[in-house]
Amino acid sequence: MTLLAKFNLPPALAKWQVEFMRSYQLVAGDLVMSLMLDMAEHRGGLVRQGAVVEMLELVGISAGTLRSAISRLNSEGRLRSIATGRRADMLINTDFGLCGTDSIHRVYQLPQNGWTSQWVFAFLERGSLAGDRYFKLRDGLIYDGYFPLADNILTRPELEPCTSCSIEALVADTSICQHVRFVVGSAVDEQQTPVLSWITGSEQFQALEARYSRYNQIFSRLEDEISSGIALQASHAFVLRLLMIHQYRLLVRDTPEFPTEILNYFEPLQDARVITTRIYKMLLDRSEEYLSAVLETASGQKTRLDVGFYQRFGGLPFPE
Amino acid sequence: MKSKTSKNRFHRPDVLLTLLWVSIVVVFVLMTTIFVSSRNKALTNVYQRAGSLSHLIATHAGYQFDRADALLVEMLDHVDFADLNTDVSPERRAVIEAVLNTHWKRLPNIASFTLIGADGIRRYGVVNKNFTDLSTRGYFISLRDGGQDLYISQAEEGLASGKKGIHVARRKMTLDGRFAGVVVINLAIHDVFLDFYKELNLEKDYTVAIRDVEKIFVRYPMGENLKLGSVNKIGELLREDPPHGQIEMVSKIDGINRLYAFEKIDNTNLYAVVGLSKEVTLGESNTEGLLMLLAAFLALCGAGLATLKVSKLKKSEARANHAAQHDVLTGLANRSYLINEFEVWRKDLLDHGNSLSVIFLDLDNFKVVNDTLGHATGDELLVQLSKRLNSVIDQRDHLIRLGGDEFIIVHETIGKIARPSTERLCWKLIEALKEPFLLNGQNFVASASIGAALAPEHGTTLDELSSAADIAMYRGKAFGKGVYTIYSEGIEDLVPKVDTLQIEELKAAFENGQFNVFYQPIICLKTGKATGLEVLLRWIKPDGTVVPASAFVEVMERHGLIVDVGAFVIEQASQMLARWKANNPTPLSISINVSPVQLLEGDFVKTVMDTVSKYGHFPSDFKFELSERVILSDDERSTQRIRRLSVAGYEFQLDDFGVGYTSLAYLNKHPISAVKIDRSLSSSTVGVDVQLVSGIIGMAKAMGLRTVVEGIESPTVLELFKASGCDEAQGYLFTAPLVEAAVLEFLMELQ
Repeated sequence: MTLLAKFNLPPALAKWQVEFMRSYQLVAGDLVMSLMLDMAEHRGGLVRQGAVVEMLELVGISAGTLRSAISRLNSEGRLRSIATGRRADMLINTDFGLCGTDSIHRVYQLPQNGWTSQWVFAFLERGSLAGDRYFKLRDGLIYDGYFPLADNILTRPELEPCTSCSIEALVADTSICQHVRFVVGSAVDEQQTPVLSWITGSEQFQALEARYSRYNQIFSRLEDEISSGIALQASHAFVLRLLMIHQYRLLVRDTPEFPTEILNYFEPLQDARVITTRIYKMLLDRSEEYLSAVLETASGQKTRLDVGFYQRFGGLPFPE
Repeated sequence: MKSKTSKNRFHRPDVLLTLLWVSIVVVFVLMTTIFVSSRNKALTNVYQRAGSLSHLIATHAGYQFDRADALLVEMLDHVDFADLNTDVSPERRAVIEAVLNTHWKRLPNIASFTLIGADGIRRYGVVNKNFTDLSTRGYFISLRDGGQDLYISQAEEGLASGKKGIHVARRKMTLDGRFAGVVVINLAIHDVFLDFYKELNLEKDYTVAIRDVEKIFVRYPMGENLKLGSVNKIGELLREDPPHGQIEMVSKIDGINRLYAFEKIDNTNLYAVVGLSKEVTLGESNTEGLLMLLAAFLALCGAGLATLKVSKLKKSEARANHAAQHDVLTGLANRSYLINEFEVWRKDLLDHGNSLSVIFLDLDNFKVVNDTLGHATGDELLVQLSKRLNSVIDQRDHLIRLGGDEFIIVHETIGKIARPSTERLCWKLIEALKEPFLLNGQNFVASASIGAALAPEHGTTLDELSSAADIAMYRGKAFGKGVYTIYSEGIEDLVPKVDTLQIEELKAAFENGQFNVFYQPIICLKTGKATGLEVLLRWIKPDGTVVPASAFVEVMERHGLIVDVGAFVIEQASQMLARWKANNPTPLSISINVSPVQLLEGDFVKTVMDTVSKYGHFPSDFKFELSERVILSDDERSTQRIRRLSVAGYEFQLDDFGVGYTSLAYLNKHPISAVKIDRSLSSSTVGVDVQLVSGIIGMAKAMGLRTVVEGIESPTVLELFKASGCDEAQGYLFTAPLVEAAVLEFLMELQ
């Protein structure tokens, strides 16, 4: 469901909020996933459902809308609700997607060096899959960094070492290989590769670039506002972090996994990462204050961040 | 004697040769069938691959033509008849040229973008303005004289750009139907098409082409506009206007036999064609097939030679026997060698007043190694283990790998008494395994269970001795792993017949309700009250024999039955706790042992949470006991599941601490809240190492961990652990494991 949200933010950010709302529409289910991936994954992944509902009410989403979104995510296998007494815990399913990555690793990891100069083409055999499963497989490939050139042709640069989703792993997976045929091609010239021209010349990629530019514009303004020293409560920091990481996650999810050799040609993509990292660091302490207070499991246990969290964005400041 | 006769019969040349010929004919037929089947499979695969590629090429070409055409349509919207056919004002001209330039920049690799009047004279263009008369160009004539609005040319040299390209052209018509001119784009074939086809970088001799029925527009390799002379086989197929298709054909251009797939490019009369060389793509399977046939042929020749050289057969048989009697992975002798040679060793030793023993060694939890670290690592462990065992045994001893993780050592002893030297060797073997193995750059501690049988007191034949050693080994396994046991009379009665247990028996026992849950109270050493119960699984056979879980848990792990049985244990314990809570307000926690296989294979988190929630319990009511196998395996999935349950409020304890190699430092990686000190450290029969116990308890306390001691059997030992600061204890001193009714009675009495 698309939402017209009203955020709990300080008056100094009222103008920014209007700009954000003009540019983005929030979908409750996507927002729940962003919250779980960004804020719960490194706290054991288990959160009391009521706590999530209370937190997202701060971004103006009603409890009813959230509960129906959570129910849908449950039925899709993205989340799992587990009853504990009268309460329920939500457990995020990180095994979703072809390689169990759901593109989330690309949100927080630095782009990789080491393009093998090869392109992997994935051809989906439409006839062998029922409609729903076909689209799930296609989405799975997109989450793993593939870019759709056509309805049933996707491509991505092959990286070495490929930490996300290696072609060998996919080819070895018989459940995938029944329905997808992979062909590997080598770029004649890394800078003038026609496959890259095809990707970047496509309307879809140009629309993506425009989305990045818009994102950079909006969040540069937010960075300016925060840097100007406005007083942010812990809950404000949480709302801003969630809104930002949510939009950034959606951008990354739709972007092919480009190595640095290719990324160097696309400034908006690079800028977005830099802006996101800076704002994330600025909001980190205050937002974590809020999360430490409100995030709990159904048994009432507060959760703590694990060390892996601090590896995000190439290294976050470890609390003293 | 019987076996000798039988052996001779098979060495008779006529019988041997008949058998040989029959075998060869069977092999020949089999190989031919395999060859034909694999060739058909390979052929289908190549066609499918070519089909995918032709789809890619058609999509790519369609995308290029669509984008060019979209620009043409947009450009035509900006001009009218007068713009193309009359002298316009400089201002108007500047506007049109600006629009043209803007559009040109939107599409990379356009060699030229030109507007032509109805007379064929070039009016506007983005490159080289010297050529003005384009009235003779094919696209111009076709659009002027023909009926179609869009024209796609063969590759041809652009007069304006000098670059070879495919011209995509559209005509401008006035509202009253007059021809007003043409707008044309030249798509450079190298930049737009050939470089892309080159990037596919397929195997040798592949070809990609864009063509219609009669002509090839672009072809990789070799360029463009190839003259075919006559319509080839593909052209004939294309006359039918199929959406896609495939054909095998010898190319008229280069004479290579290829498997072609083609697909129609959307909104055009053109086709994308991909050809893969038959020789290159099927070469491998051809070679395989030829090799197989060659092998069969050689076998036939061999048979002929065998007829002449039967005498040499024994030599090669001996060589084959040698190969057949050694294990490929470790290079050790195998079971077959043991069977052949044992009698010789036994006779030789016993006849000279010496003795021997048979030592059976079985690696503990090898299945878990394979499951958690992979089979390659498992193999590596076996290789390293073989080397280590070899370094421990005496030169006169024989090390044999029976298969899997089972080894036999035939130990030769001087003199008639075999026990002391056998015990010494067993002890050395146990000690040798305590040193960690380096697997994949990580230390891995293995342990083995060892059983030994002595000749002649436990038997004289291989069957008798290996069977006795096997029973002794299982006795050890049932009462604690990583130990050695020497066979003794009556030991069978102590050992459940686990060696004969098959998974079917266990499944049937589970289905027939023969698995029962027992409970052993855990006592707080400060208050003397029971704080919890450890849940223990027992198999009560119809004849009343009680088999402890340690005797069959490994078989269940190997076959995955542990997942269902584990869920059953959690369910039973939850039910029991619910009954306790219904009648008693005193809190009681339940400790359950968790197998690494449960953590890996089952939906463990959900099972636990659903069951616990079904009975309205709290997560803090449950404690899960992990063995050091889980801690050491460092498996990410297990760690994640443990962490998730821990976050939900479930507690984890490390079981059997103090005898393995789990460093306390490892515990930091897991949310462990308590360590259970192994029963071997509280055993009164060997004496308690006070310093070790105090050290363990002190370190655990420093790390904020509770300590629970297992196997307390005497008040003296209990006092010692109490004095050392241990928190809780369990053991026969308090009570043996009890069924539910009895344990509830015990708890009530204790209150």
